[in-house]
Amino acid sequence: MKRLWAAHIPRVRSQAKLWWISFRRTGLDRALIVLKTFLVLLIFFYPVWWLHINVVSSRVAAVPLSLAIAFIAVQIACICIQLMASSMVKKIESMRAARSVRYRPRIRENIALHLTGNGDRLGELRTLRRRSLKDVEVCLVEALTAVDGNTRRELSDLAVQLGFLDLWTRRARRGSRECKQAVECLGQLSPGLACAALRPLLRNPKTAAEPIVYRALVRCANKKDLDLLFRNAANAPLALRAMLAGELRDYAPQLTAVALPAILKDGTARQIANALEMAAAWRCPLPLHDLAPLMRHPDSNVRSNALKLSAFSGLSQSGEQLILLALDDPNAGVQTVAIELAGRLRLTKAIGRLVLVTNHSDNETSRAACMALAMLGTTGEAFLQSHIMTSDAGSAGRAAESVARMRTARTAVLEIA
Amino acid sequence: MLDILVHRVYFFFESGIIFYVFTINTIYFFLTVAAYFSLRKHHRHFTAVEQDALLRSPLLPSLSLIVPAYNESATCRESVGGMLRLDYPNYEVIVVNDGSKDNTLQVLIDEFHLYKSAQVQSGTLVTKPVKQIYQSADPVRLVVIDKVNGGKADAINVGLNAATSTLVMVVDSDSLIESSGLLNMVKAYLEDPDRIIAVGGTVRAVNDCDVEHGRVKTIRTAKSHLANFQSVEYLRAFLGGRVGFSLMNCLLIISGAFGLFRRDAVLEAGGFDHDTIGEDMELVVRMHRLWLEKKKPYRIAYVAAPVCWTEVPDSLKILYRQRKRWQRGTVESLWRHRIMLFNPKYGIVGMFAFPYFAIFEMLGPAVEFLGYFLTILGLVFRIIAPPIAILFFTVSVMFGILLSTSSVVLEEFTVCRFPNWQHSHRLFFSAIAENFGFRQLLTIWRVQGLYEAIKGKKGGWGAMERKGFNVVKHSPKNGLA
Repeated sequence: MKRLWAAHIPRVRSQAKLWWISFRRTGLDRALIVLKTFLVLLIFFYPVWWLHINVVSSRVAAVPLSLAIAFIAVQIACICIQLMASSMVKKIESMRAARSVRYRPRIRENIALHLTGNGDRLGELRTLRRRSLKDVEVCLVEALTAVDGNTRRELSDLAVQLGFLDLWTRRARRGSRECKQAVECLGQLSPGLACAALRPLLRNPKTAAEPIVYRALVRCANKKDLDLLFRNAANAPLALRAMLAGELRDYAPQLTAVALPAILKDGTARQIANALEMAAAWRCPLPLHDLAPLMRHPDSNVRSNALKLSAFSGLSQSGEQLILLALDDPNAGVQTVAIELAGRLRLTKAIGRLVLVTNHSDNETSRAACMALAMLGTTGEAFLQSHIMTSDAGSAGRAAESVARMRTARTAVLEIA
Repeated sequence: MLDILVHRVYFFFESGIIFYVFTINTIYFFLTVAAYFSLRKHHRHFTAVEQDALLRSPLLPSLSLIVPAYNESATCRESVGGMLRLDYPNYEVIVVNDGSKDNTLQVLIDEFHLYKSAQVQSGTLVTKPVKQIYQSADPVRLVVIDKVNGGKADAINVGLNAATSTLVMVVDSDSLIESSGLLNMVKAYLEDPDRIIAVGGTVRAVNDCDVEHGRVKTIRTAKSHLANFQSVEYLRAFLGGRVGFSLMNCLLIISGAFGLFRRDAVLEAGGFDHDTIGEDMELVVRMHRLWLEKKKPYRIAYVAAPVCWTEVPDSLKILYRQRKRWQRGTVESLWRHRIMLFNPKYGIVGMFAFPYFAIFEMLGPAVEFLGYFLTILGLVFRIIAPPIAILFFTVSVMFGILLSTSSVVLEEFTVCRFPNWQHSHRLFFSAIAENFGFRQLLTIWRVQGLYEAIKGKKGGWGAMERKGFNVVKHSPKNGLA
C-alpha cells in the first residue's frame, strides 16, 4: 500500500505546489479580503445583539421592536462615525497642505543654497526634516528629477546625509504602496547609489514595484545588469515587458549581440517568443542573421515574432524565402504577418500566393492580402482591378478599397513632396 | 377564524419581505466592505514613472474607441475632441452616427474637417447598411461612420467591424474620459493578457463640473439634488457593487458608457445583441456563459481608477425613462440566459452573481414595493402594530442610508476625487436624503420597467435631452469667462 502511494506522492506534491503558487498569486489576497469583510460584519452585527440583550429588551418587551431599536442605534452610530472620520481626514489633509505651503519654499531655498555652496545648510535642512519629513522628501525628489550629472550626485549625497537613502531602502522592503514610492525615489538617485540600493530588490521584488525597479536599473545602464534584465523581462508578464520595452530600445544593439542570441539558444518557447516580440517592437535594424530555424519552431508565437523581426534584420535571399514560406503557414496569425510584410517590403515574388489569399474565407486575411497587393505596384493593382470586375461584392469592395487607399496615400506623398 | 387566517398570511408575507430586504442589504454591505479592502489593496493611481514608461512602450496594444452617437449634436464636439486628446500612443476613434435626426454628422464634419473616405464596410458582424465613411483631414486618427438607424448595439457592431485593433473600448458620445483613462484600463489587460476579455471602468456624474478642452477641470457636486442622488447611486454601484463582484470574477455588468473589450473575444461571442436594450449587460453575461461552457480560463475585471464622466438626467421625466430602460435591459438579459440560474456548471456566476441579479436586482423593486404596500395596508386595517411597521422601515430605509453613506466614505478613503469637505458633506446629505422619497420613486419606476419587460416592450435609443457640458472658456480680457 505504502509503495502504491509512494509513486503518486511526487505528482500530488507538485500539483499542490502549483495550486499554492497560483493561489498565492490571486486567491490568497481574495481570501484575506473576504475574511476581513466577515470580521467587519461581525463587528457591525455584534453590538446590535449586545444592545438588544443588555439594554433595549429590558425596556421594550416585543423582541422585533427591541431588535429594530438596537439596529437603528448601531446604524446611527455608524453613520456618525463615518461622517466624523470623513471630516477629520479632510481637516488633517487641509492642515498638512497649509503646513506644506509654509515649509516648502524654505526647504527649496535651503536645498538650492546647499547646492550652490552658500554656507552649510545641512543643519537647517536636518531641522526642517525633523519638523516635516514628508515636505523635505517631496522637495528633494522634485529637485532630483529636475537635475542631472554632478548636481544629481550632490543632491544624492545630500539625501544620504539626511538619512533618506536608509529610509527609502527600508520602505522598499515593506508593503506595496510604500514600496512603490520608495523605489521611485531610489531610482532618482545618482546611478551608483541607485544601482547599489536597487540590485538587492531584484532578487525578491514586490510585484507592484517590479517595473520601477527594472526601469531604474536600466537607466543605470550597467552592461551586466542589462543582459540580466533582458533575460528576466523575457520571462515576465506583458505589463512588465511593456514598461521595459521602450527603455531597452536604447540598448538594442548591445542586447542583440549577447542576451538575445543566448535566449534564442537555450530559452523556452515563451521566453523566445517574448524576447523576439520585444526586439521586433524596437523597430530598428538589428544584426541578427539566422532566423530561418525559428520559422520551423512548433510555437506559432515564435514563428510570427521571428517573422516580424526578420523585417528589421536585413532582408536576405533566405529572409524573402521565409516570408514566402510563411504565406502558407497553417496559423492565421503567422500568415497575416507574412502578408503584411510581403506588401511592406514590396516582395513581387509573393504576388502569386497573395492572389490566392484574396479569396480567403476570413475577411481580415483577405483584406490584408488586397492591401499587400495594392502596395506591390502596377502588377498588384492590375490584378485588383480585374478582381473588382469578376469577384463577389465583398471581395470586390475590399479590392476597390485597397486600390483607393493606396492612391490616396500616393497623392498625399506627392502633395507633401 | 377568517380573521386569524388573514393575520397569519399577512405576517407570513411581511416577515418574508423583511427577511428579503435585510438579506439584499446585508449582501450589498458585504460587497461594499469587501470593495473597501480590495480598493485599499489594488487601487493605485499611476505614478509619473509608470505612465511615462507605458507611453514610451512600443508593446502597448492598439486600441479603437468606438463611439456610437444618436442625436448628440449638443455634446459630441466637446466629447469627441476630448477623446482625440487622450494619453495613449496607439489608438483611433471611430464615431458611428446611427442615423441621427439632428445635425450630429454636420457638426462632426465641420469641427474635425472630415472628408469622404475610400474605406468600405467590412467585418463579420451583420449590421444595418453603412451610408458613408469619413476620415479627418487633421492629423488625428478619427473615422466617422454614417449608417442607417439600427440602435445602439447595431452602431457598436459597425464600429467593431471597422476596428482593426486588438482592443476596443465602447464609450458613450456624451461622455468625457480622463486623459489617463485608456492607460489605466489597458494596464489591467496587460497584467493578465491571456485571460482578460473585458474590463470595466468607473462612470461618474459630470453635471456642474467645469470642462475645458474636453477634459474635466474642476470636480464638484451638482447644484441639483437629483443629480447628487444619482452621484451617490453611481458611487454605490461602481465602487461598492462592481469592485465586490469583480473580486470574485463574477461581474455581470460592464457599463456601455465605458468598457474595454478584447476585440477577438467580442467577435467570438457574436458582438452586441440588437434585440435587447441592455446590450452591455447581455454581452457580458453571454461572455461569461460562453467561456464557462467552453471551460476556457477568463477574467472580466473592473478597475476603479479610470473614470468616464457623463451627464446624468437632471429631470424626473428623463430619469424615469432611463430607469425603466435599465430595468427592462436587466430583465431581458437575465431571461435570455436563465439557464445559468443556480446552475453549478457556471460556477460562482451561476450560483451567486446570477441569482443575486435575478432575485434582488430584477425582482427586488417588486418585493420592496409590495413591502411598502402591505405595511401601509396593515397599518390602515390595523392588522399590524406600528412596531412592526417601524421594523420594516428600519430594515429597508436605515440600512439603505448606511449603504449610501458607506459608499461616500469608500470614495473618500480610496479614490478621493472631491477636493474639499463641503462637497463631501453635500454628498453625505444626499446619501441620507435619497432614502426618503427618491429611492421609493425609483422602486415604482423599476416596477413599471419590470412590468413592461414582462409585456415584451421593445425600445431603441434612450432619448436624453442634453444640457451640454459646463464648458469653461478663456476670455482674453478677464481670464476665465
